[in-house]
Amino acid sequence: MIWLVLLLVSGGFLWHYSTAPGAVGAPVTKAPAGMDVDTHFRLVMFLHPHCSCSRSSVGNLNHILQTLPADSDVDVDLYFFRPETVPADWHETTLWTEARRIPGAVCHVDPDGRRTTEFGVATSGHVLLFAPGGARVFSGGITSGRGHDGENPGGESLSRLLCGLESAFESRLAIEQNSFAVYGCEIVSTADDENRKTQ
Amino acid sequence: MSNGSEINITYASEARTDELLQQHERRIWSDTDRMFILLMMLQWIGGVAAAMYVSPSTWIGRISTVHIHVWAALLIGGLISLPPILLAIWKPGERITRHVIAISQGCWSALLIHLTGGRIETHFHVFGSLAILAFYRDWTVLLSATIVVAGDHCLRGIFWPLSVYGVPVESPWRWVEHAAWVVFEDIFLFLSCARARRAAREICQTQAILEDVNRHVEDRVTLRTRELADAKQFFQSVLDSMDAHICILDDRGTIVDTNASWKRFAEHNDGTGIGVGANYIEVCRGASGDCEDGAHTVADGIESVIEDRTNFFNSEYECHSPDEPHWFQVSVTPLKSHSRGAAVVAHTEITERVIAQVRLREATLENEKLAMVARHTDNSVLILDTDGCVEWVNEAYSRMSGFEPDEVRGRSILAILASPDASPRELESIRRAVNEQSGFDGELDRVTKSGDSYAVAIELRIIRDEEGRLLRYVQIEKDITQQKLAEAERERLHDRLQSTARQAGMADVATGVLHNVGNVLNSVNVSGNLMMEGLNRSRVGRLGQIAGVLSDARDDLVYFLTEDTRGQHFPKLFDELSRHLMSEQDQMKQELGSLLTNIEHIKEIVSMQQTYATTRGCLEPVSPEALIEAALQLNDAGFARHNVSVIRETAKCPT
Repeated sequence: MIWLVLLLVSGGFLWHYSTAPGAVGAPVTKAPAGMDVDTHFRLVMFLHPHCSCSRSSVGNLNHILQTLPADSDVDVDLYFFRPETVPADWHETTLWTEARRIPGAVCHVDPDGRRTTEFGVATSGHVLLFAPGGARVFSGGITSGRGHDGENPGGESLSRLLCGLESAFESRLAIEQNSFAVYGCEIVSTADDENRKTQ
Repeated sequence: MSNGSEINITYASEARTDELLQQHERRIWSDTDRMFILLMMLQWIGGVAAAMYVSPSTWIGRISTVHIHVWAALLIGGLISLPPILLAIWKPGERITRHVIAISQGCWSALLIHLTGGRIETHFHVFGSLAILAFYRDWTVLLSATIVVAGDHCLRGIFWPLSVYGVPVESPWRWVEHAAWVVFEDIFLFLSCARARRAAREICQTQAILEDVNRHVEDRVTLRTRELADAKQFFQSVLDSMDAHICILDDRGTIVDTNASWKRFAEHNDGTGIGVGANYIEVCRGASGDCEDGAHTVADGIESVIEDRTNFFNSEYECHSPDEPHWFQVSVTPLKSHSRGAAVVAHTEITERVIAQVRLREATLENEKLAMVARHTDNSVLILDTDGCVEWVNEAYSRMSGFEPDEVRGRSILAILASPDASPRELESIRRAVNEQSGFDGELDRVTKSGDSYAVAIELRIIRDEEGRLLRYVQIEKDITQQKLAEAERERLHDRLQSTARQAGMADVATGVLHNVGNVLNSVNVSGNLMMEGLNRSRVGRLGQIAGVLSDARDDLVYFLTEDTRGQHFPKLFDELSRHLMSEQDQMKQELGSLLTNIEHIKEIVSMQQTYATTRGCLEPVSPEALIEAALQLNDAGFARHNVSVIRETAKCPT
């Protein structure tokens, strides 16, 4: 009986861990200056190259992009965090390789997470979508849990936005309801962020 | 029950079948428990390895820590796997063990489904687990696993569908569909379990029957083995008890087995050269001395038997020791069906037989001589069988009795001896001797075939074997007719001589008596003459004269005596006469004493002569039986008159 109770407690712990989203951070609501968002959508995803949960995010992103109509006009930028004190190939993980295979996606190394910090993102797998003109129309994760592939509210909302099936208002409402939780590793630690700010 | 070479099989008891089934199921349960030990460890190790491979670390910036999935795989996986592993080790085959294993396996399915994000492929782990759990052939185990899986799907399907189905939103009843598929498989697994259990029961029943058969067969084998051992022991004992030296040779002549007599022979000869392992043909070939020829012959014989040139070899040879002669008989017999042996060699010492044959030949010669004696002797020889009937007679019998052998062969000896002249007493003695199997010595009057009488001395002897059993009678009859006539004549002459001697003796005695009596009579005569002379000279007559004088003077005796002159001389006369008469009396007494002495002397002479005549009797041997018989015959008339029957029983007189 004790054993069965321990099993149930363990299951509850797993359930709690799997359903606990990462930090949302303070994503920017407008595209930073210098970002080309004049005529087309720009999708930006921030990733920790060693985050195993983010494979689902990359996979789901690939799936979304594959299902978009051929005339969809969206630029995709994926920023991979790399601390400056690590070897140069530190970021070249399986996740990096899979991301580079996404058609049309551009993978960038984000040295020391400056871009991540610039966009106000904290958790790997966080996606920001800026509509033409620079307005942010989507913010959040595109997985339903840690490492869970498949359909999820964030991915469906993102797909509908790109297809023009959902308005920015509806997306913003969902964002405010925290419906697109991000499940992944924390990209930039608080200590690193404070150090960088100090510098 | 078994009888002879047949084995009747009884149906195995239900109890034994159930016992075997329980043993079988417990063995299956224990084996499956051990299998699940490996599976649990593999799942545990595999889970940890997968976690370490897929998500070994969780990152916060550039800092990584062990991913929570690794800990989950390690700790929760251990929590799931360790209890069934320990139970399987400590309590294999127990019901609690397999149910804990079933629950654990269901938990492993739930964990894996969760860790793979509810991938539908991972759900196959459930079906695989059920199939493996079906190894227990216990539907209740499947039920436990099914309850765990269904409960997990139910709870997570309602409250956390993303974990079990991989989608965040799902119908709360989808778990029923999953559970239904599990039940679908369970139905067939239940049927499979039932069928497997039924098959196992049939197998156990068959095994019980086989055990019964095996038990009977083992009993039979044990019995046969014991009989075989007894038979082997028996034959070995028989071989060992035989005086013959026996060995078994293989096809190269090597000794592979021997009996005790052979071993003793080998030990006696201080040689291990003829023990087991030695090549006996080479031993025989290498023999020298007196035994060389015989040994070479034996070697040839063994080779001929082993090479199948002959079926049997037998030979006799002599092989003398320095102390005494020895003869042996060797026989070599093929041993075709034996696993190792090719021939049996048996040496039998026949020294006693050979010596016996020599002695037999000598005895035969002796018997021939005896037969010659028996055939040509003048005495009749009859050989009787145990019933006293004639088996054989010699020629002398025919000459003596006038009967041919065929006329008396088979007839009873008593019938043959019976004749009017034969003494009934002697016949009775012979009959008693035959009946009591004792000997007889006696004489018997017989009659020849032509009716002539003759007397024989019969000597009947008993012939017995070494154990004292009666074999035959031998009767020897000696014709004593002439001897008896001679004896009669001798007796007659003896009687006459004895009578003459007796008469001569009597004459001698009479002469001696007369001579001695004559001598004494001379003395008696002298004494008588002296007494006669004394009487003649006696003066007794004077007493008459005196009496006359006194008678004359009786009227006046006093005067006469006193006065008369004559009378006055009378006192003197009386005195002188008295002295004279006294003298005469003394003289007469003396003569009379002498006379009486002589008369006594004569009496003594006569008595002594009579004594001599008595002690001088003639001694002659007399048979007590004959003496008694003669005494009885003297009284036959009296016995007959008084109707007295006399029974004679006399023992044989010692000689």
